[in-house]
Amino acid sequence: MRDGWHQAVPAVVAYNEPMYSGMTREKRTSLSSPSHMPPSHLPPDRHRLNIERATRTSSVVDAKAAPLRSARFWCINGIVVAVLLSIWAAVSLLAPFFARDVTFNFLGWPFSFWVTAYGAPLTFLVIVAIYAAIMNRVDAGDPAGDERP
Amino acid sequence: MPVHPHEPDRLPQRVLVGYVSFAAAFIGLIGGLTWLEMRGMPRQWIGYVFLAVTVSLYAGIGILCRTSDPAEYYVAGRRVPAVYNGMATAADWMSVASFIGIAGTLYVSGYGGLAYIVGWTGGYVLVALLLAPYLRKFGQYTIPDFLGARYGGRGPRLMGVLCAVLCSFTYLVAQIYGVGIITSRMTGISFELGIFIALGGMLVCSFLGGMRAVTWTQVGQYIIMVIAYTVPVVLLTVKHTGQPVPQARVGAVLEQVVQKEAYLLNDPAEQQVRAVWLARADDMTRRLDALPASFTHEKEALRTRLADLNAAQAPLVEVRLVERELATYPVDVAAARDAWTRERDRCLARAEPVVPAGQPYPAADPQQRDAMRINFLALVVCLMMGTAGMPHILARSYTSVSVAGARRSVGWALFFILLLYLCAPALAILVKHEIYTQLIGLQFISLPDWVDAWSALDPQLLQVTDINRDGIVQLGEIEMSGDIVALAMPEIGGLPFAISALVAAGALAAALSTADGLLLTLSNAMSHDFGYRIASPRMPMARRIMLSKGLLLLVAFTAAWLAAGKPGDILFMVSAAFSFAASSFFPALVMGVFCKRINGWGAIAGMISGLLVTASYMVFTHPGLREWAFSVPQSDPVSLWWGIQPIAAGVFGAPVAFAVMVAVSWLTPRPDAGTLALVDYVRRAGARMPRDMAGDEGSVTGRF
Repeated sequence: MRDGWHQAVPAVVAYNEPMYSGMTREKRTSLSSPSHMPPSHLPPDRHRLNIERATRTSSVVDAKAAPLRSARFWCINGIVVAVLLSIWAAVSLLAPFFARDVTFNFLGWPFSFWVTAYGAPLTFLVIVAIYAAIMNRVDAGDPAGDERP
Repeated sequence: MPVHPHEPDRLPQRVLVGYVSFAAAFIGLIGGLTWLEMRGMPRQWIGYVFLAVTVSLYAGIGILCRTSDPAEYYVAGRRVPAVYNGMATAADWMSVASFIGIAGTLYVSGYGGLAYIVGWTGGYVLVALLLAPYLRKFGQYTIPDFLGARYGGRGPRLMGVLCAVLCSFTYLVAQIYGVGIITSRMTGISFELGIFIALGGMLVCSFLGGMRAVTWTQVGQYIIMVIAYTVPVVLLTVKHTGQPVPQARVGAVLEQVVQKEAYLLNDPAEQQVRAVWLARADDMTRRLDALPASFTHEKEALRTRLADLNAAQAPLVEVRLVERELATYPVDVAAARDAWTRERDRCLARAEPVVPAGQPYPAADPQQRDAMRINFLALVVCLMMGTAGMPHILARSYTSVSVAGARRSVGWALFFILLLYLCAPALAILVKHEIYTQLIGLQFISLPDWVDAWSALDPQLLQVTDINRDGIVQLGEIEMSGDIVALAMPEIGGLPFAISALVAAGALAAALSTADGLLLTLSNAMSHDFGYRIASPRMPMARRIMLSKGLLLLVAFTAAWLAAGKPGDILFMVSAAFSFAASSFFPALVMGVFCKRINGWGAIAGMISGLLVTASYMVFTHPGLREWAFSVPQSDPVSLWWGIQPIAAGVFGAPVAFAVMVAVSWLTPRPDAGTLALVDYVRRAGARMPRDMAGDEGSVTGRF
């Protein structure tokens, strides 16, 4: 079965190529919004089969409301990333920058040494864990679902 | 390892049992060898046992996981659970530079070495937040695949292939060089033989099983690495503080080290040694000022001294010393200027008091302190972006089960990396403490064995010479390279030789696991992206896998051949790879996901200009490279931008790449609708494949 997929490669290339090569610039820009997606050049059943091949999923879901929901999802993602990256930047840049100005002892270590050697890396771990937890929860509430249950 | 493609449901439990028994067996092996050592087993045999057991284990996993299936070969079937993917990423990531280099840098430069810890862990935040989930969602085989699909056409993909080779190949040579050093130290076999034995084990693994075998081998290698790194540090911590948690207890040892350093700064004998170094530096300055007359003059002086010594029947050692000096005398005036400048700089460096262990930016002059601080920050930023642009790490997001799994697996990777990295400062401080308390003040006639062993291996690694001729070791008389800190730590701390062999086996695992990952990245970039996608798109699948395996062998042997020539300044080459990744892949990938307006022209122009800026900054400011490129002598002063050293050249390349990408994209047409749909698809974990992209497994890129 798998070999069959790969024999289909040249055919698919042939299907898709004329779509863009013969198109003028005006036409391309008119199609640039994602809501005006070009029609499929593939027969419907073939199309469905190909989605399965491409994403290794067994369920094709209704994506009528996709653009709006995608925007909302991307917005949440953007906020989470921005907040976490500002913490990341503060820890990794501000701590070394002011290292000479803080001299007290912390857990038996000089604070500036401790925060650079242990504090910053542990904060990074927490940031990555929080991001995974939040976004995986957001995904779980997404009607489109993850590509694999 | 118990991995079978047709039983995905039973995979986690069986794998868990397998690896737990593997770890137990390995700990048992260490215990058994320690016991045998006490019963009188020769040291060399212990090294052989560790080498044979670990290398045959890696090869064994490779044979068990052999495959020709493309999804298995390229991305381990995309069903590696997050925890194991994290372990494999950690092993893939931690190279000789991490295993040996971090502790060494911390030993040599104190607080300054923490830049590597912050940079190399902070990069994973960028991987997790900006790249891994999207690459997994995209779900192809290689990183150039993403560039090819997102930016369209052959140009971006070709740039991707070039960057992958640029970033990975020097890194691979450095790993194989490390393998040679470690095996020859571990067993006493020759450097070249060591390379080829280890290469054999590695190739069986990646050649037969591709990413699948490499992944499951890397999990095993990670287990060996973590045992090898933490066990000796914990043992030494117990020895010095009576408690087993280095992160909690070594702070007190640091305090003692700082006190000892303050004492050594004013110790008369130390000051005497430093004065001798300063006098030697002054002598070199005098010679340099008197060039070219001093060239013949000094040579004559040496000859007369040799004649005098021979006439006076001086000890053979002294005669040999002068003979050697005469034999290595510079050939002409230019060479003399170069050699003497280097000798002067070395003596001046040795005349400096030791770098304080815990103090940030230790310099008396505020301007110099600021320069140290800006270099620290630049290196941190450069390493972070470089980490997030390393293709062999990014390719790991393809192997996880899902987008959610990719997010989790970066977290696990960082966790497993931290298990080692958080021991590194403690290791450096403990070794420093041992040196200060055990070695300094010792009689020269009663030097410990490890000093002789390491200085016999290579005087560049360790050299203890009686500079002021008082028969007692002073700190200024010990010249210790950072590279041996981690490897020699068990001997320095007085632990059994089996632990030394264990550390060497861990370092070998670190080098081999990274080399495996790099080899696959290189051969896949060349076969899949260049050979198949660009050169002959109609190549059948079986041929593609064969081509990939053939290139794997070719790349491995080329790298081994280069490493056997023992190239110089390997550390600089490794950090150059990070700068290149930071100024090419990182901007192109991040903008590809986060900015829809960027098109192929922008991406190509940005990557090229980023690489050019980085490369030219290095060539103009690194004395060795400058000499190679323009034959300017190394002694000429370099002009730096804001005092930033060439090691962090990526901080200039990356912003240029981002800026050029934006500028060129705005001046050229928008990306087409298909590309925008691809970005939407990649951005959302739950989104389905856009219609015009759906096709064969490879057709996301196949349409170009």
